[in-house]
Amino acid sequence: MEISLASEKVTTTSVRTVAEVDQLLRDVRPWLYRLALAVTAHPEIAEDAAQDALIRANRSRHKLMAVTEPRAWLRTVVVRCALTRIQRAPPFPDIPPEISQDPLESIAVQQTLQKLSAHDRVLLGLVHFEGLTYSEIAEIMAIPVGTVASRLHSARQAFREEWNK
Amino acid sequence: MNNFDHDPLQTFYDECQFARVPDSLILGARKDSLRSRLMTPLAGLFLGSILGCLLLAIPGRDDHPLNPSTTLSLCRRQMRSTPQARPDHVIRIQVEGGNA
Repeated sequence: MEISLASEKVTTTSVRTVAEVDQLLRDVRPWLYRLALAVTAHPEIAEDAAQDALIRANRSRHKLMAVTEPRAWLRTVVVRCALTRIQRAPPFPDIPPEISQDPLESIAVQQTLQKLSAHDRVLLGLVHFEGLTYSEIAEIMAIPVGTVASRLHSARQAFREEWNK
Repeated sequence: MNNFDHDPLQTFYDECQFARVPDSLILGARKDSLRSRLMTPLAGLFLGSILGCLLLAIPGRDDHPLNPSTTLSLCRRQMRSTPQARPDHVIRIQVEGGNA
Protein backbone atom coordinates (compact mmCIF):
# COMPACT_ATOMS: atom_id res chain seq x y z
CA MET A 1 0.00 0.00 0.00
CA GLU A 2 1.41 3.37 -0.99
CA ILE A 3 1.16 5.89 1.82
CA SER A 4 0.87 9.51 0.87
CA LEU A 5 -0.48 12.61 2.51
CA ALA A 6 -2.22 15.20 0.40
CA SER A 7 -0.96 18.11 2.45
CA GLU A 8 2.51 16.70 2.96
CA LYS A 9 5.12 18.68 1.11
CA VAL A 10 7.55 16.13 -0.25
CA THR A 11 10.57 17.93 -1.53
CA THR A 12 12.95 16.48 -4.04
CA THR A 13 15.93 17.26 -1.81
CA SER A 14 16.45 15.48 1.48
CA VAL A 15 15.70 17.39 4.65
CA ARG A 16 17.40 14.87 6.92
CA THR A 17 20.28 12.47 6.68
CA VAL A 18 20.28 8.67 6.91
CA ALA A 19 21.65 8.89 10.45
CA GLU A 20 18.84 11.26 11.41
CA VAL A 21 16.24 8.88 9.98
CA ASP A 22 17.82 6.02 11.95
CA GLN A 23 17.63 8.08 15.11
CA LEU A 24 14.05 9.08 14.33
CA LEU A 25 13.01 5.45 13.88
CA ARG A 26 14.62 4.56 17.20
CA ASP A 27 12.94 7.46 18.98
CA VAL A 28 9.43 6.88 17.65
CA ARG A 29 9.14 3.19 18.51
CA PRO A 30 7.48 3.65 21.94
CA TRP A 31 5.09 6.23 20.52
CA LEU A 32 4.26 4.04 17.53
CA TYR A 33 3.45 1.09 19.79
CA ARG A 34 1.38 3.15 22.22
CA LEU A 35 -0.56 4.75 19.38
CA ALA A 36 -1.16 1.31 17.88
CA LEU A 37 -2.32 0.11 21.30
CA ALA A 38 -4.73 3.02 21.59
CA VAL A 39 -6.28 2.43 18.19
CA THR A 40 -6.38 -1.38 18.35
CA ALA A 41 -7.15 -1.84 22.06
CA HIS A 42 -5.13 -5.04 21.96
CA PRO A 43 -1.44 -5.34 22.95
CA GLU A 44 -0.59 -8.16 20.55
CA ILE A 45 -2.31 -6.64 17.55
CA ALA A 46 -0.70 -3.32 18.48
CA GLU A 47 2.73 -4.92 18.52
CA ASP A 48 2.13 -6.44 15.09
CA ALA A 49 0.83 -3.14 13.70
CA ALA A 50 3.78 -1.18 15.12
CA GLN A 51 6.14 -3.79 13.71
CA ASP A 52 4.48 -3.53 10.30
CA ALA A 53 4.80 0.25 10.42
CA LEU A 54 8.49 0.07 11.35
CA ILE A 55 9.15 -2.36 8.53
CA ARG A 56 7.36 -0.11 6.09
CA ALA A 57 9.20 2.93 7.39
CA ASN A 58 12.47 1.09 7.11
CA ARG A 59 11.75 0.31 3.48
CA SER A 60 10.74 3.91 2.78
CA ARG A 61 13.73 5.64 4.27
CA HIS A 62 14.03 7.87 1.23
CA LYS A 63 10.55 9.23 1.98
CA LEU A 64 11.38 9.78 5.62
CA MET A 65 14.45 11.70 4.53
CA ALA A 66 12.27 13.98 2.42
CA VAL A 67 8.98 14.53 4.27
CA THR A 68 8.70 17.67 6.35
CA GLU A 69 6.40 16.06 8.92
CA PRO A 70 7.79 12.57 9.54
CA ARG A 71 5.61 11.91 12.60
CA ALA A 72 2.47 12.66 10.60
CA TRP A 73 3.66 10.30 7.88
CA LEU A 74 4.43 7.59 10.45
CA ARG A 75 1.09 8.15 12.17
CA THR A 76 -0.75 7.52 8.92
CA VAL A 77 1.33 4.40 8.30
CA VAL A 78 0.75 2.91 11.74
CA VAL A 79 -2.98 3.69 11.72
CA ARG A 80 -3.42 2.00 8.35
CA CYS A 81 -1.33 -0.97 9.49
CA ALA A 82 -3.51 -1.17 12.60
CA LEU A 83 -6.69 -1.08 10.52
CA THR A 84 -5.41 -3.93 8.39
CA ARG A 85 -4.39 -5.95 11.44
CA ILE A 86 -7.74 -5.40 13.18
CA GLN A 87 -9.64 -6.49 10.11
CA ARG A 88 -7.52 -9.66 9.84
CA ALA A 89 -7.74 -10.57 13.52
CA PRO A 90 -10.33 -13.02 14.84
CA PRO A 91 -13.39 -11.27 16.36
CA PHE A 92 -12.56 -11.48 20.08
CA PRO A 93 -9.02 -12.65 20.71
CA ASP A 94 -7.76 -13.10 24.27
CA ILE A 95 -6.42 -9.97 25.84
CA PRO A 96 -3.29 -10.12 27.98
CA PRO A 97 -3.97 -7.95 31.08
CA GLU A 98 -0.65 -6.14 31.03
CA ILE A 99 -1.21 -2.44 30.75
CA SER A 100 -3.33 -1.36 33.66
CA GLN A 101 -3.27 -0.76 37.39
CA ASP A 102 -6.87 -1.92 37.35
CA PRO A 103 -6.62 -4.91 34.98
CA LEU A 104 -10.26 -5.90 35.23
CA GLU A 105 -11.53 -2.52 34.12
CA SER A 106 -8.86 -2.27 31.45
CA ILE A 107 -9.82 -5.68 30.07
CA ALA A 108 -13.47 -4.70 30.11
CA VAL A 109 -12.70 -1.49 28.18
CA GLN A 110 -10.57 -3.37 25.66
CA GLN A 111 -13.24 -6.02 25.19
CA THR A 112 -15.87 -3.35 24.74
CA LEU A 113 -13.70 -1.50 22.22
CA GLN A 114 -13.14 -4.71 20.32
CA LYS A 115 -16.86 -5.07 19.78
CA LEU A 116 -16.80 -1.80 17.82
CA SER A 117 -15.91 -1.66 14.15
CA ALA A 118 -12.26 -1.23 13.19
CA HIS A 119 -12.90 2.34 12.00
CA ASP A 120 -14.72 3.30 15.21
CA ARG A 121 -11.87 1.96 17.31
CA VAL A 122 -9.26 3.83 15.31
CA LEU A 123 -11.31 7.00 15.42
CA LEU A 124 -11.68 6.93 19.21
CA GLY A 125 -7.98 6.22 19.60
CA LEU A 126 -6.95 9.10 17.38
CA VAL A 127 -9.20 11.51 19.28
CA HIS A 128 -8.57 10.36 22.86
CA PHE A 129 -4.93 9.26 22.60
CA GLU A 130 -3.49 11.55 19.96
CA GLY A 131 -5.87 14.48 20.45
CA LEU A 132 -6.00 15.11 16.71
CA THR A 133 -8.38 17.56 15.06
CA TYR A 134 -11.16 16.35 12.80
CA SER A 135 -9.30 17.53 9.71
CA GLU A 136 -6.15 15.65 10.72
CA ILE A 137 -8.19 12.50 11.29
CA ALA A 138 -10.00 13.00 7.99
CA GLU A 139 -6.65 13.10 6.22
CA ILE A 140 -5.33 9.95 7.91
CA MET A 141 -8.50 7.95 7.33
CA ALA A 142 -9.15 9.43 3.88
CA ILE A 143 -12.72 10.47 4.71
CA PRO A 144 -14.50 13.86 4.71
CA VAL A 145 -14.31 16.00 7.87
CA GLY A 146 -18.09 15.85 8.30
CA THR A 147 -17.94 12.07 8.28
CA VAL A 148 -15.34 12.15 11.05
CA ALA A 149 -17.74 14.11 13.29
CA SER A 150 -20.71 11.85 12.63
CA ARG A 151 -18.69 8.64 12.94
CA LEU A 152 -17.13 9.85 16.18
CA HIS A 153 -20.56 10.53 17.60
CA SER A 154 -21.79 7.06 16.64
CA ALA A 155 -18.56 5.43 17.90
CA ARG A 156 -18.99 7.03 21.31
CA GLN A 157 -22.62 6.00 21.34
CA ALA A 158 -21.70 2.43 20.38
CA PHE A 159 -19.08 2.27 23.12
CA ARG A 160 -21.55 3.57 25.71
CA GLU A 161 -24.19 1.02 24.67
CA GLU A 162 -21.75 -1.88 24.77
CA TRP A 163 -20.27 -0.71 28.07
CA ASN A 164 -23.67 -0.52 29.73
CA LYS A 165 -24.74 -4.01 28.61
CA MET B 1 -18.03 10.34 27.62
CA ASN B 2 -18.94 13.27 29.85
CA ASN B 3 -21.73 11.23 31.40
CA PHE B 4 -19.25 9.18 33.40
CA ASP B 5 -17.92 10.37 36.75
CA HIS B 6 -15.01 8.04 36.23
CA ASP B 7 -14.39 7.70 32.52
CA PRO B 8 -12.98 4.22 31.91
CA LEU B 9 -12.44 4.93 28.22
CA GLN B 10 -10.27 7.98 28.87
CA THR B 11 -8.49 6.06 31.66
CA PHE B 12 -7.61 3.37 29.13
CA TYR B 13 -6.16 5.93 26.70
CA ASP B 14 -4.26 7.65 29.51
CA GLU B 15 -2.72 4.32 30.47
CA CYS B 16 -1.76 3.70 26.86
CA GLN B 17 0.54 6.74 27.13
CA PHE B 18 2.68 4.80 29.61
CA ALA B 19 2.22 1.26 28.32
CA ARG B 20 5.32 -0.90 28.43
CA VAL B 21 6.81 -1.26 24.97
CA PRO B 22 7.53 -4.91 24.08
CA ASP B 23 11.23 -5.76 23.82
CA SER B 24 10.69 -7.50 20.51
CA LEU B 25 9.59 -4.23 18.96
CA ILE B 26 12.85 -2.50 19.81
CA LEU B 27 14.63 -4.78 17.37
CA GLY B 28 11.81 -4.55 14.86
CA ALA B 29 13.40 -2.76 11.96
CA ARG B 30 16.71 -4.55 12.34
CA LYS B 31 14.90 -7.89 12.53
CA ASP B 32 13.19 -7.09 9.26
CA SER B 33 16.39 -6.27 7.45
CA LEU B 34 18.02 -9.42 8.82
CA ARG B 35 14.98 -11.42 7.89
CA SER B 36 14.94 -10.11 4.34
CA ARG B 37 18.64 -10.83 3.99
CA LEU B 38 18.44 -14.33 5.40
CA MET B 39 15.00 -15.57 4.57
CA THR B 40 15.18 -15.51 0.78
CA PRO B 41 18.24 -17.79 0.45
CA LEU B 42 17.12 -19.96 3.38
CA ALA B 43 13.63 -20.35 1.98
CA GLY B 44 15.10 -21.21 -1.44
CA LEU B 45 17.37 -23.82 0.12
CA PHE B 46 14.51 -25.30 2.14
CA LEU B 47 12.10 -25.48 -0.79
CA GLY B 48 14.84 -26.82 -3.05
CA SER B 49 15.68 -29.65 -0.65
CA ILE B 50 11.99 -30.58 -0.27
CA LEU B 51 11.55 -30.60 -4.03
CA GLY B 52 14.70 -32.70 -4.43
CA CYS B 53 13.47 -35.24 -1.87
CA LEU B 54 10.10 -35.44 -3.58
CA LEU B 55 11.69 -36.02 -6.98
CA LEU B 56 13.84 -38.80 -5.54
CA ALA B 57 10.94 -40.36 -3.68
CA ILE B 58 8.48 -40.45 -6.58
CA PRO B 59 9.18 -43.56 -8.67
CA GLY B 60 9.45 -43.13 -12.40
CA ARG B 61 7.50 -45.34 -14.75
CA ASP B 62 10.69 -47.07 -15.81
CA ASP B 63 11.11 -48.41 -12.28
CA HIS B 64 7.87 -50.35 -12.57
CA PRO B 65 7.43 -51.37 -16.22
CA LEU B 66 4.93 -54.07 -15.36
CA ASN B 67 2.61 -52.12 -13.14
CA PRO B 68 -0.61 -54.07 -13.92
CA SER B 69 -3.15 -51.38 -13.17
CA THR B 70 -1.36 -48.74 -15.26
CA THR B 71 -0.88 -51.15 -18.17
CA LEU B 72 -4.47 -52.30 -17.99
CA SER B 73 -5.91 -48.83 -18.06
CA LEU B 74 -3.67 -47.90 -21.00
CA CYS B 75 -4.85 -51.00 -22.78
CA ARG B 76 -8.52 -50.23 -22.13
CA ARG B 77 -8.00 -46.75 -23.52
CA GLN B 78 -6.38 -48.21 -26.62
CA MET B 79 -9.27 -50.67 -27.07
CA ARG B 80 -11.74 -47.81 -27.00
CA SER B 81 -9.80 -45.84 -29.59
CA THR B 82 -8.88 -48.78 -31.85
CA PRO B 83 -11.77 -51.15 -32.65
CA GLN B 84 -9.39 -53.82 -34.03
CA ALA B 85 -7.91 -54.42 -30.55
CA ARG B 86 -9.11 -57.68 -29.03
CA PRO B 87 -9.96 -58.52 -25.42
CA ASP B 88 -7.22 -61.18 -25.26
CA HIS B 89 -4.67 -58.33 -25.38
CA VAL B 90 -5.91 -57.32 -21.99
CA ILE B 91 -5.77 -60.87 -20.63
CA ARG B 92 -2.21 -61.34 -21.85
CA ILE B 93 -1.05 -58.10 -20.26
CA GLN B 94 -2.69 -59.05 -16.99
CA VAL B 95 -0.81 -62.33 -16.95
CA GLU B 96 2.46 -60.66 -17.82
CA GLY B 97 1.93 -58.12 -15.08
CA GLY B 98 1.42 -60.89 -12.55
CA ASN B 99 -2.09 -59.79 -11.66
CA ALA B 100 -4.06 -62.69 -13.14
